[in-house]
Amino acid sequence: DATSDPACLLMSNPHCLKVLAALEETGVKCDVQYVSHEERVVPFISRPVLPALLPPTGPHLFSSNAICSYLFEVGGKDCSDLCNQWLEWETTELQPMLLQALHMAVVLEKGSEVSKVLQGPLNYLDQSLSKQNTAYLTGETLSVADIVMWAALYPILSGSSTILGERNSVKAWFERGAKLQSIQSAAQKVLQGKGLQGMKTFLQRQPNPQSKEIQTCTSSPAEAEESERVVSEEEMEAAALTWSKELQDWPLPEDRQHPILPQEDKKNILVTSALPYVNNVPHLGNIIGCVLSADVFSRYSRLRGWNVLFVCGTDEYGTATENKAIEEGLTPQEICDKYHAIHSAIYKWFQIDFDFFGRTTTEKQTVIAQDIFWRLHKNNFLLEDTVEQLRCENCQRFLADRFVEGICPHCAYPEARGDQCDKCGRLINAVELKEPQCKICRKTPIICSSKHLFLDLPKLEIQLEQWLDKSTSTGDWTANAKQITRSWLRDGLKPRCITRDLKWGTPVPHPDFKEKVFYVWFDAPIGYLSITANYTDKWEKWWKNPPQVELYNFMAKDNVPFHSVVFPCSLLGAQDNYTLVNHLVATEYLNYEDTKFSKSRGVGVFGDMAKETDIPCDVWRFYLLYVRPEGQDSSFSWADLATKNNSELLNNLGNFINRAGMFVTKFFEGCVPAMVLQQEDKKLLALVAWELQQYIQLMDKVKIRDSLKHILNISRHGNQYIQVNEPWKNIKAGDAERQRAGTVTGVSVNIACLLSVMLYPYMPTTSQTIRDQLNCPQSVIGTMLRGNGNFVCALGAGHRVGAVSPLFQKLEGDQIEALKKRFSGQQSSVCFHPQTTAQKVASSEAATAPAPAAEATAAADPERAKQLSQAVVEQGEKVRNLKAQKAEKALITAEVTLLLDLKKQLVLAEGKTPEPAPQKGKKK
Amino acid sequence: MHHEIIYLFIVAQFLILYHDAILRYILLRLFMDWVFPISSLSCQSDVDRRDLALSSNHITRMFCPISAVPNMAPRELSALEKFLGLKKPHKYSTQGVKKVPVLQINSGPPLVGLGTIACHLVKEAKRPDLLGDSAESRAVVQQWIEHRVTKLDRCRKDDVKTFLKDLDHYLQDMVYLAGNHFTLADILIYYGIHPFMVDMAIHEKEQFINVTRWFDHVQHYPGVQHHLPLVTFCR
Repeated sequence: DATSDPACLLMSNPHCLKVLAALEETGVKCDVQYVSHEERVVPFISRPVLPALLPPTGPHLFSSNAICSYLFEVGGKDCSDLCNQWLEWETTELQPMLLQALHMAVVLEKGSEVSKVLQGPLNYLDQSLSKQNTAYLTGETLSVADIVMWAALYPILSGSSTILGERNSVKAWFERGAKLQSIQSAAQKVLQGKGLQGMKTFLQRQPNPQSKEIQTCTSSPAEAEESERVVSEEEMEAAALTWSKELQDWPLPEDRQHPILPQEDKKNILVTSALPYVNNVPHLGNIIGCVLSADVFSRYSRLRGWNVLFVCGTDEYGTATENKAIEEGLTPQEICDKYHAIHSAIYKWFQIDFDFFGRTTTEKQTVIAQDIFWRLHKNNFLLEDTVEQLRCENCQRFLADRFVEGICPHCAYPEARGDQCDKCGRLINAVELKEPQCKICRKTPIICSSKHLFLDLPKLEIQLEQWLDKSTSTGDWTANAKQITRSWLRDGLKPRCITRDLKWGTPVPHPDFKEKVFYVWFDAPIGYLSITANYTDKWEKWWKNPPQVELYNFMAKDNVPFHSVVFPCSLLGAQDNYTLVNHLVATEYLNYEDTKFSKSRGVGVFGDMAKETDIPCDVWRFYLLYVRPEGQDSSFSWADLATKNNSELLNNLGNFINRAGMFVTKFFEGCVPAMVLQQEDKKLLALVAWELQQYIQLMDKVKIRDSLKHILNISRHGNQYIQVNEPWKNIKAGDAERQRAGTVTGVSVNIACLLSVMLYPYMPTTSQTIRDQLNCPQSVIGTMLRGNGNFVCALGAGHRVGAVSPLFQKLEGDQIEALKKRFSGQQSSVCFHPQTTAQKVASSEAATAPAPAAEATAAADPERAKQLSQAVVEQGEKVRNLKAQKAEKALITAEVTLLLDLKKQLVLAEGKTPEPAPQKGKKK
Repeated sequence: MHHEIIYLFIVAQFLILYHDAILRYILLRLFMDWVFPISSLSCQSDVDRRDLALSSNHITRMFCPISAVPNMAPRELSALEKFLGLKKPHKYSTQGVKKVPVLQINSGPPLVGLGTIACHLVKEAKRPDLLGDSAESRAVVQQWIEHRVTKLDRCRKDDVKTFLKDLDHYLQDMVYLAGNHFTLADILIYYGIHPFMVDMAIHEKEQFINVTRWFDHVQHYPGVQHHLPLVTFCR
């Protein structure tokens, strides 16, 4: 057999041991090359995989087991079904555990854990071998399965005689292999006499097998299939020990003393939520994207005993406000006052527990913004340039970016906006547009020049990157935040204009720019500082104190660049030791009823309508958090809201808590009975402790949606526990049974108490109601979420509970249908775009406020609109496709015309006037 | 920073990097449309899809590894039996949390594992060609089956892109996974990526033009696409 196949092998990789042993065992001739870890030998796999083998014909083999089978077949030994089965078992069952065990032993240096990890597969192996009663895995002769399995297990088993324990069949089989020349010499080559330590480099490069395990089960709250977790004795004893501990007297979150300032010995957390733009009533997307997420996290942080300040406020400057003022016949200040009050009321209804909810149109804003401006000026980070701007003579004003439309200079898309082309995505300077049109009157604007100031971002780029490296590696930035930031840096930074020819804004203090104000993107984030300054004179203790303060920014993903690139550059350039963001938490988008993109922005379920639905605030909060667009876009659906309310809140969580409380009331005259813990109870305590620990770990990483799942898991465990133990039957039987019923009731009611604490960040009212009903001591709220979680027996024997009543109500189908209909309105597609600071910049002062519902219904035809919107989507795809295929220009133009026509019809069918042209729906 | 923008950027990169592959793809599409005019042009409605029980676990499938979806493997094995023309249908059970399929056989202890059972069925149907016609191709077939059960079945939605990217690269100069001949590897990888392909938008699928071409090929291979809805690639 004249194979001259080079097999590329890697030292210290356990899989190479298999191949080397198989080579030696079969005697197949093969040219062996040793390559480095990083080398990509297999061209079609994007990460380095080793070992690999290039046979005389055919593609690379990159699986060690396939290579071994191949070598055995070339050597004249075929693989039977049983042999196949062992190989499959080795890759699917043994390897994951083995990798985890090696990781434990070598990287984490916890050799003692190894036997626990390998317990399952080794037992299986032992049982199979003793049942078969053969010398080798597949019979009385050695097969490729034996070589593969020996080689896989050799590194870990040869070093320790205790792992195998009493598994005599495995022992005998393994010793047979360990004696083989082929195994020994392969091991020598791979481990180089260093034992397990020889694999350290390899293992360190592998993803942490345990953390991966956790991730896989975190994505979907409650919907992943339940699997029984094995609870160890130690876990049970630890849980029982915690159970017997005392509550501790920590201060309550409600009792905080304002003003809150950073403290020496504490973890100090500054939480901000993107400032909602005052001009619009916030919608559900707005609420979940920023304020609600930030609220949950700050409530949680207070329970953890951290020192938290949570600030937010309305962002009030800009032309959109000016326009709205004209529209409503008020002054801009009056408009801001009016809408600020609306915002406050909505957040109050949603129980957003701000420490301070301020606004940007304050004296402090002017002082701080101008100070930062002068510092940037002094440090030479500002550039002066003449800007050509479009001015509509007809409307008598300079046109903000989004007030201009024209042909994209890059891709010839006919409806590009003044700042960005929806088609090719490139940023555009409004004056570069071909055939520009004023969006209001459709007249052609003229170009005027005006002097403006620019922030010199390129000059700050290196500083920014250094800071970003540190912040993103040490803090918890969401993946989308990192990715968006990277793409901005990759494209290179350009100077950004910070001034505007407007009236309603923070005045530029420089005498040469008297008539101008700061551009919102520069001004608005400074709002965080000025709002804090309006809260306390000592605001600098938060904002100029990076060593003591950890800053969390919450926002939707469209806001990321302004918080990760632009604002940090302003602060870095100001050189005044500012606190920069440590953790940037960005959500994806929340869609409405599975409709993926919005044809008309600003329509949907608004914050002020939520309370009119008669659905309690806590249920709204629960559902929005349950579908929080964490990691991917998600969808708000009425039907799903009803399902989640009925299945999770009513039947799972509410049912458990109510049952636990009712048993105490009905069977034990309202006093918690004595509890005598048995093994089964301890197991439940351990399960609950584990869920609590997961909840804390995920919450610490701001995985708000994922950790909610663990609350629901606990009540599921609880329901099951009650179901199995049937206290309602035991209570009627003898003394022993009665005691058992008492224990089950007592444990259950204590779990209900724990749940009330875990629910506090998500559903504050429900949390309070449970604690009132069970008459829980105040100190539970401060005790249970400290450290790794303390599930203590807070309601001891003899504790008297209050009046227990159901927590949740069923949402009926017809009720939901009615709501669904009510909010579908004339709109066939709605998307909640959180409209916040940055988006205001992006959609700079949107042409008109969204048409009020009543006005729009006149000619509206929802059915037709639906068809048309579908047609628009399809036509859009078609055009894109043609362009991607570089079809003929004439063909493309014809299709584009068709598309535009469809869009026009759609606007009409939606009952809106085509002038001014509608906001182009942004596809997400 | 909206998807559309990012997507266009990717398309642009693809055009630059893979213009020859795209050209080949277009030719192939034309060819496929000619060969299978009705099936590939008829866009399956959503209703059809919903009728199939397989899609009812949509949400579960989106978030968990496929192996957590109950009875997926037995369904695949039954479809494979039909493809192989085996007369007497086997009964499958599953074991463990991961629902590993188990087949009781007369001649010995039960067989465990999707790959193992599939190979056994192929041998039972006397179709050894489906396992590869040389030592090399047999190894390649085994390798992709292993890849299916180890990598694909543990893939989450995010990771599947990496899997498809690699597969796409691999299929650049291959008709089938083991070269020029259709094998069991094609069937099992096809079953494995089907749930992901169903959920993908057309433009997403087009990022993997070689996979798309191969996939369409396999789903139209006589008798393969049994229990699964056709995935469409047309616009």
